[in-house]
Amino acid sequence: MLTATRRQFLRYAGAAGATGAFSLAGCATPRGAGGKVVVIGGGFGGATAARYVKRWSPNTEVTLVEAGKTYATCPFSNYVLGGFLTMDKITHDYAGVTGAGVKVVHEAAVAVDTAKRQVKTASATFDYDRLVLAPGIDFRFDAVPGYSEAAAELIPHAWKAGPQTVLLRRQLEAMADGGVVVIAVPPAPFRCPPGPYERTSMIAWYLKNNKPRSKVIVVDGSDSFSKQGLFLEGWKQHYGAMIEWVPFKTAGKVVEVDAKNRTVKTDFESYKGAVLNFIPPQKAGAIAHQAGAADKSGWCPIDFKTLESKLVKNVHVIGDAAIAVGMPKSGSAANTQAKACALAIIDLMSGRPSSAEVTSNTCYSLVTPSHGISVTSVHTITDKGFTPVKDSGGVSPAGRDAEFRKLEADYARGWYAAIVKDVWT
Amino acid sequence: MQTTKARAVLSGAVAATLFALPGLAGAEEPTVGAVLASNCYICHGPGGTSESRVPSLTRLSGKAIAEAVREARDGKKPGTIMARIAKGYTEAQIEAIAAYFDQAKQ
Repeated sequence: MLTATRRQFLRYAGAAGATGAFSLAGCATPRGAGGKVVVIGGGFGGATAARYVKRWSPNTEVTLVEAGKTYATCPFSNYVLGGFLTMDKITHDYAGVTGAGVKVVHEAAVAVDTAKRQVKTASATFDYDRLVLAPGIDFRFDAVPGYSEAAAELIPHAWKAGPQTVLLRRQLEAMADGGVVVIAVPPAPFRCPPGPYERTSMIAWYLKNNKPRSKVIVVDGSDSFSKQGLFLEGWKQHYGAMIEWVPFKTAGKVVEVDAKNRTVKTDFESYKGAVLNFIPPQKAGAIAHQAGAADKSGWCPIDFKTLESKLVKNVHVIGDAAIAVGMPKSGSAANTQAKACALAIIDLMSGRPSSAEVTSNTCYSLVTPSHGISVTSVHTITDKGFTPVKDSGGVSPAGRDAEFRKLEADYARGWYAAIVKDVWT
Repeated sequence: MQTTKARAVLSGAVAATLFALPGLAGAEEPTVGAVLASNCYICHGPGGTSESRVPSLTRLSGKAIAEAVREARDGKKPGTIMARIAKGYTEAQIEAIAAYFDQAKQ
C-alpha cells in the first residue's frame, strides 16, 4: 500500500518537476539513476544508509532487510544496568524509516548471491544494483574454552542490547551486598571501545547506591583503554576502592571460562564473581561471512572512498563489521560512514566516482548520571583509511569541575535523542 | 474538464502524501553542504533541529553558525566538545555548511 503511494508520488513528482511542484518537496534533479539498493541490518549504520540513499536519491528503490521489528541500542543500555533507564527508552521501531520511503522487510537475510546480485530471505528474493551490509557483530563462541552460546545464558555478555541486558540487570539485582561483579573485556577490536568502562561505572553506580559493600573487578584484554585518564579520574572521585582494574600485563590472557562457577581463568589468575559479565571476542555479523565479504580476521576489508568491499563487487560494508581504519566501532561512526556510503552509492550508480570526503565520530560515556565525558574526531577519507584531521578531536579535558561534567552528561542525552531521530524515529 | 478534475484529485493526493511522508518531503540534492551538514545531525538533530540542551541550528542564520564554529575553533568561547570538532573542518567546509543551513530555511 505504502509502496504504491510512494511510487505514484514519485512518478507525479518527476513529471511535474518542471512546473515547480517538485521543488515544493525540497528536491532538485533526482540522482541515482533509479537503481535498486538493498540494505541488510537495521542498526545505526544500516537504517541510516537506507534513509540517506532515499533522501539524496528519491527515485532509487531502497529496501531494508532487518529481522527485528524493533531495535534496542547498545548505547545507553549501560544505563539500564545502572538502574536509571528502562528498556523501552532504548528500543525503537522503524516508523521513521518506513515514513522516509524505505521498504522495510522484517525477515532475516539468509543468503547473499553476489553473482546474481540477490538477497534471499525465507520467503522472498530481492534484486540489487548495490548492496549495503550493516550486520554489526557476532560473537566468537568458540574462541575461549568453556564459553558457548549456552554459557552466555549464565554469564551474560549483554553486548547486543535486548534480553541479555535484562538478564545481566536481573543478576545484579539478585546479587547480595558484598558481592563481586567481574567484567571480562576481550582484546581489541570490539564493538564500542569505551563501552566496558562505562559499564563498569554504571554497575558501580548501582552498587554504590544499593549494595555499597560490593566491588567491580575489570579483567582487561588490553593494557590501556579508551578515555582511560577520564575514567580513572572519575572512578577515583566517585567510587574509590569499589573498582579494581586489572590490565592485561597483570592478568594475562583468558584461557578458560567456567560459566557454572562464574569464573574466568587467565594465565596468572582466577577471577570468580557473584556476577560474571563475560564479553566475548567478536567478528562481523554472520551474513557478511556468508556473502564472502569477511577476511581471515573475521572483519570486512573495504575501499575507504566508496566503503565497497575489497572482496566482493557491488557490496558495501559499514559500521562495526567493516575494517574502517582510523575509526572506532561506534554508533556515531556507523551513522557517518552510512552517509558517506549513501553518497558513494548514488555517485557510482550515476557513473561518477565517489565524492564522499568526511566522516566523524562523537562518543559520550557517563561515569555517573551527571558526570559525562566524551571523545570526538573528524576524519578525511583517504586511500589509507579514515584519517583523523590533524590537531582536531580528542577527549574531554581532565580536571574540570562538576558543572562541566554535568553539561557533557546533558549533551550525552542530547546526542542520543538526536541520533535516534536521525536513524529510526 | 475531466482531466482537470483528475489532476485536482491527484494533486490533493500528492499533497496528502507529502504531509504523510515527511522523509520524502525532506528529499534533497546531496550537495557538499548537505552532506557535510548531515554529520552535525548526530548531536544537533536531523536537519539541525535539536530538542535538547545541544543548541538548535535551525534557529540560527548561516552566518551565526559559521561564526559560532570559528569561535569554538579559536577558543574564543568556553565550551565542551565543539572546539575539538570545529578544528576538524576547513574554512571552505564551514562556509558550505553555513550556506546549506541558509538555503534549507528558504
